[in-house]
Amino acid sequence: MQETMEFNIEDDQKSFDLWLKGDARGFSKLYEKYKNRVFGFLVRMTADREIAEDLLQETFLAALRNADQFDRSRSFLSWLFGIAHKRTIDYFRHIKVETDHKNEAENALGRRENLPDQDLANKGIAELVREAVAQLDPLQREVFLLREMAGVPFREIAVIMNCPINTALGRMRLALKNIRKELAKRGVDGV
Amino acid sequence: MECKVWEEKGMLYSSNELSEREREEFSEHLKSCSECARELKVYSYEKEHLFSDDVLTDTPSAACDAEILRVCSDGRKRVSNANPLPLFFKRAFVSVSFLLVGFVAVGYFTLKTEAPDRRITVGAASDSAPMVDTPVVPVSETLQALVDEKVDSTESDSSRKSGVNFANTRGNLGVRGVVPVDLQNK
Repeated sequence: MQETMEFNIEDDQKSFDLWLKGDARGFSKLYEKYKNRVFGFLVRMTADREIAEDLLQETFLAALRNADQFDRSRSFLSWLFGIAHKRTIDYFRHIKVETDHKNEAENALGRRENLPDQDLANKGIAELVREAVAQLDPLQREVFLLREMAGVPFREIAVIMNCPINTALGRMRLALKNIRKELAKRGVDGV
Repeated sequence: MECKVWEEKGMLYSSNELSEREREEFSEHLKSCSECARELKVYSYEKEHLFSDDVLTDTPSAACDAEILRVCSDGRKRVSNANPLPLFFKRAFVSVSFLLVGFVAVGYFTLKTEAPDRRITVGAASDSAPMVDTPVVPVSETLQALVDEKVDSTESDSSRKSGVNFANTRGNLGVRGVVPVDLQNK
């Protein structure tokens, strides 16, 4: 797994430079390479594919606009996830009022029961893991996704999320603990 | 309960963020701490089987792909604000241009409104009198009478020769304050 996280920084920077010079191949290469990771991150964070697609476009556009701020000592993917993180924060700020109203309505009507037992048997392990990730606290989920999907080092996660490295490590530890707990509740145990 | 060493260094060990010396120390610790060894084994298994790309990544729709490729492909369209100097010159140019256009406009309208006054002043009987609506009479009545006499006396000869009635023309000019130079001297 670790090997797959090792991205060629120089190769990415060459593609990035090609992109900035107007060569569409540079962008295509980077986009094809990273779109699924960034999109996966956005889907897991927002739990909405359409919004995640909008945010994906905003992320790449923001990368284009802020190309001069790209630190060449960092990996392109880390930088891209940093932008995706900011777009996600903006999105959550934007919908905060709507969410508050929705939660109030749900509280008034009574919350629905999550995951009826009869459905568990029909779900694959991948789906169960996604659901367990979805149950995480947003801050724990973000650290977990940045680390597991993008392979962003904890030191960079701390910078992206503007917190001490020990806080990032603590959130990761709690995320793993909660995922295991959720999986155990869903009958996935013995890892 | 987790070992404190795992909390501090276990994750950094698994993400290759420890220095060489710290890495060696933790490797030594793993040999003697079954709790940390188990935690590392579980986490490695989860990374490989549960948190794989297949599980966590996702694919955007083809329409989304096409739109992003259309919008973002040309990197030259980026809006950069990293170097403020060109932006400063651009703004300065626009400001100076507006200023110049303003000066030209003000100058034009000033000249346009002042010009009639000057023209009127030349033929005015007095500077204080409003000249626009007042008929101008540049010569005294006596002189005008003399001029009219001269015109009347010469009119018959000229009219006869050219067939043009100068009396009416000169009379009209006289009313408008225009006096022929040759007649003024006489």
